Amino acid sequence: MKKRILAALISVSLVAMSLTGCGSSAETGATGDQGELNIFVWTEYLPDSVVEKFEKETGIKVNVSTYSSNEDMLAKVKSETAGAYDVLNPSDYMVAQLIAQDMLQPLDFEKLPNFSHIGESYKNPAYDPGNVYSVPYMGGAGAIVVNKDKIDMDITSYADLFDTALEGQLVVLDDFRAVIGMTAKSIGYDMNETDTAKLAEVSDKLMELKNNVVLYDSDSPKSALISGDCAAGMIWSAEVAMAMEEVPSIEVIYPEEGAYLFFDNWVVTKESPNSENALKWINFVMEPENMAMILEEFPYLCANTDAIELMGDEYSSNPAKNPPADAIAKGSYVENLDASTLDIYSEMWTKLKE
Amino acid sequence: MGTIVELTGVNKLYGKNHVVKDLNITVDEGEFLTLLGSSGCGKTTTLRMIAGFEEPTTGSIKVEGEAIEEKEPFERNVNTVFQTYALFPHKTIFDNIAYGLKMKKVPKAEIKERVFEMMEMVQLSGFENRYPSQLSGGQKQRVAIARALINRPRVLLLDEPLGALDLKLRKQMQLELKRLQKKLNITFIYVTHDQEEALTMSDRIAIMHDGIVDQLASPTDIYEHPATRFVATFIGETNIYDGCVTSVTDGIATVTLENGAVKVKCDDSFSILEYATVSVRPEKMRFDTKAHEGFELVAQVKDYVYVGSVLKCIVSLPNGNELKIERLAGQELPAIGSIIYPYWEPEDGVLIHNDSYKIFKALDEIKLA
Amino acid sequence: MAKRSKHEFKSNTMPAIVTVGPVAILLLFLVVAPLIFVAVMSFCQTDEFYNVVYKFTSVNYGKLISTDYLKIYAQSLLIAFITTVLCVLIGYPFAYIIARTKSKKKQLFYMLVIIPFWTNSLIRIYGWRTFLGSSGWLNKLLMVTHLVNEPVDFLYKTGTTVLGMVYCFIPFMVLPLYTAIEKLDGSLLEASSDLGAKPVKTLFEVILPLTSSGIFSGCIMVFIPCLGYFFVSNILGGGNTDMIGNLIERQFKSANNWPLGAALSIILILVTLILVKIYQKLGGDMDNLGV
Repeated sequence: MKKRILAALISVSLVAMSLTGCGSSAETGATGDQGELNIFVWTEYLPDSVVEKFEKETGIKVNVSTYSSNEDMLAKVKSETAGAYDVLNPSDYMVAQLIAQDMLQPLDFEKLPNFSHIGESYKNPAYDPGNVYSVPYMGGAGAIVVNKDKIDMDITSYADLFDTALEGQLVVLDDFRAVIGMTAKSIGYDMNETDTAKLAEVSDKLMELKNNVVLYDSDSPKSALISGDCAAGMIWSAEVAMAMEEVPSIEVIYPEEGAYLFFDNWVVTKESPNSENALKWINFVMEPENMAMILEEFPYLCANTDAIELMGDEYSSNPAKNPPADAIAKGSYVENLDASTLDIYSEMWTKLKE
Repeated sequence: MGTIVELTGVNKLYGKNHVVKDLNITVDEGEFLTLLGSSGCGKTTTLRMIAGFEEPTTGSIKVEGEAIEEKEPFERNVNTVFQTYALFPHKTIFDNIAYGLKMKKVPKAEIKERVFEMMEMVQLSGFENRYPSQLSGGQKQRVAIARALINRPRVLLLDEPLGALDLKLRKQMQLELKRLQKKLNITFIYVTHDQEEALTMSDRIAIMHDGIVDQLASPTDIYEHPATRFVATFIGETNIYDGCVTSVTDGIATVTLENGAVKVKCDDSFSILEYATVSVRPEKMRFDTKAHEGFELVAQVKDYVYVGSVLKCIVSLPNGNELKIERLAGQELPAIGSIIYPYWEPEDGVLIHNDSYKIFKALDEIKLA
Repeated sequence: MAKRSKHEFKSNTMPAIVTVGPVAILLLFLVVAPLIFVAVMSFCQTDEFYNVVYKFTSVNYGKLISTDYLKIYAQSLLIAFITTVLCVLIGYPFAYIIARTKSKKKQLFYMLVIIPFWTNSLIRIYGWRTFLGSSGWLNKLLMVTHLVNEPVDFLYKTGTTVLGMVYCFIPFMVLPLYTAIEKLDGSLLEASSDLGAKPVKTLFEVILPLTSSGIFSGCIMVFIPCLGYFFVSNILGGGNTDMIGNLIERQFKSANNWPLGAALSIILILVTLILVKIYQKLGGDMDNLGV
């Protein structure tokens, strides 16, 4: 008798446990009778509330998947069936790559009236002249973050992060272009350096970082700072902002050499089966009120000037949320490299992580 | 010969299960003592307590005067031969036998010498490099014996060692074991449920049932003078009569049974109005065509059973009980259906106290007090 | 003369085809074909858009001989080895106690080992990260009891990775060990003790040799998967110490160099095959590998 009860209990809990695995992403009365939309976006970059609002207003069922690096996104998109994702959110250089590989479809701007809210300075970027394929979303910098309670020394540049006093304290992005670029800048070279002799020096300098970094994290680097496992590092600027809200002693610093900058954009895949819905989504996000909702939760640098006005002072005067103009002016974007140079970067990264 | 093993007041309980009850046994040096009984009587438990695999709940166990009940098996100077042999399957016969010496850190040369000596003694020479899986049951048994004996234990414990062997081999091994025991002059404590085995090999037998020792005596004594009803019925065949003692005169008791009065020899521990049991072996039963003096039994011949050398005659009494009379084949016997008057010589029977007698005696004492 | 029945099979091929056939075809598609694909890819190149170009090159294998990659292989082997040894040392007493307890709770103890298995190991490793962090429970406990004054850095070290690996793989060690130890004949242990062996001696002379098949099985079941694991070193090791798994994963994701990833995978498969061969030669039980 006892054995039977035990067996029954176990079976029930097994079933219960397996069922909890089912059904995860935002299920909120989206009837799906207006069709579907598959969005592929950065982690910690799109609030559920905004997605739900879209679903309610349009009746479109939205599926959100996430990634934490451009290369991861590219690998996934290429390995899935064509059209598995309708909307992507690649960074600057990645947009160029996608265009070159003919993976995007041109946008129909008649369906994107809200494009008028985007600031002029953000229109017509070098990586997509004339905004044929993309619309800017948010961006920021690979900013330096410091917990003043734990670190005495003054950190003002990327070069300072290599100081041996910071041994075992740092968290940096798990992003080889960002970290190698930062290293190149710290010794006065280009973010997108190609000269092999100079790259050899960058490689040596990079090794100096090894002892200082304990964590490579592009998913949610603020966690390590909030929990106290790390005291400083180089992470996304908005992540710094979020960390600052939890731990007041945390500060943001834009490096003297000029920060690593990035800007992410909405694009529609060439094979997208739901391009109508994709355009509806992109237009929806550019609505200032919706963009403001996003900025509330993930306070990055924003291309939507009308949305920024809605945010008020608290946002615009916070250097972590809204990087100051001079930091942006000094900064540099990641650009695409040729295969052999990319190989050198890859090898450097392998060496660092071994 | 002195006492070598002494169990005093030994009890073993598993939870509420009282498996061994207040055991008192002394084993003499150099004797072959058997614990005999059916399964569940506590004989194996007792043996395991002497070996050290179980700890007595209360009581003491002494070997050569030294109390060992708290010692681990490897601290005791006794060795065991297991029912399932328990040979180490991953070791050669040589290594199996040498194991005990290796544990005692005996020098290699001496080990080699003694192992070969022992192997010769159990007639296993040449098998040293084989593995247990390559041996027959009988051979494995001999390895088990050699492995135990090589340590020159003061006492060898054997737990139904011949149980798995066929009849012929078993008889052969019984003789070998007895021979070994006499030759090495080691005390053997042997456990079995096979009474024939016990009677053949033992110097003394302890008959156990239900956790107590009913009788501890030589095979002859046990057979001829069983101390309890259980012993009488357990060993050999017998005819059992329950009745009440009506008179005791000059060492002969008159016992009134349901079927009438009989006479049997008795000692002075019996008193009138005591419930007692009479036990008479079939071969001691006699009969007559007319009533024999002192015996009131009347029976009718039911059947004959031919068992090779003897003939068993089954007769039935008025109340339905049956008696067995045994005769050598070839002797004259009454026909089936005829009426006979069974009797026996009083000294051929045994009078046994009926257990419930003790209760009456106790009650009596309380009354008197 | 009786004629042979028409239905009598002249050989064993027909039954064999019917029973084994479907499985063989399945294996062909699901295992053999992908393996061939990976092998082919390992000899290919990429262009600047990370697309695979089907032109033969041995450059990928050439890279593997570089000290960086060899160092990573060596590290992975070392970590896998240490993990395996720790699993044996911790797992054996554990399995022994469960297997030989006469308590009625034996089933319960066995389940306690298995149940955590039912939760995704990724989630459990994240759990460890939270637990060991500077503001995690372990540090909180240490601070509250004044054993330390500042939080201790448990995370993001090679040791943390090993801890996570051992935690993930202990059940793989305990299960085969349990099976082997349960089969152990208790009377052998009694015999050993009876013959004068102290418990430690009995352990080395009787118990370990007779359960060695379980130990072997367990070692293989831990060592081989351990080589390929990457998420434990990512999450608990901070992404600091790359193992072969990390390297391979990166080629298929961020580095977008599938041919190199394929070459690394082929090497890993070869290493695994060699290990299994060694296991077999040492007398390992091939039938119980799936325990």
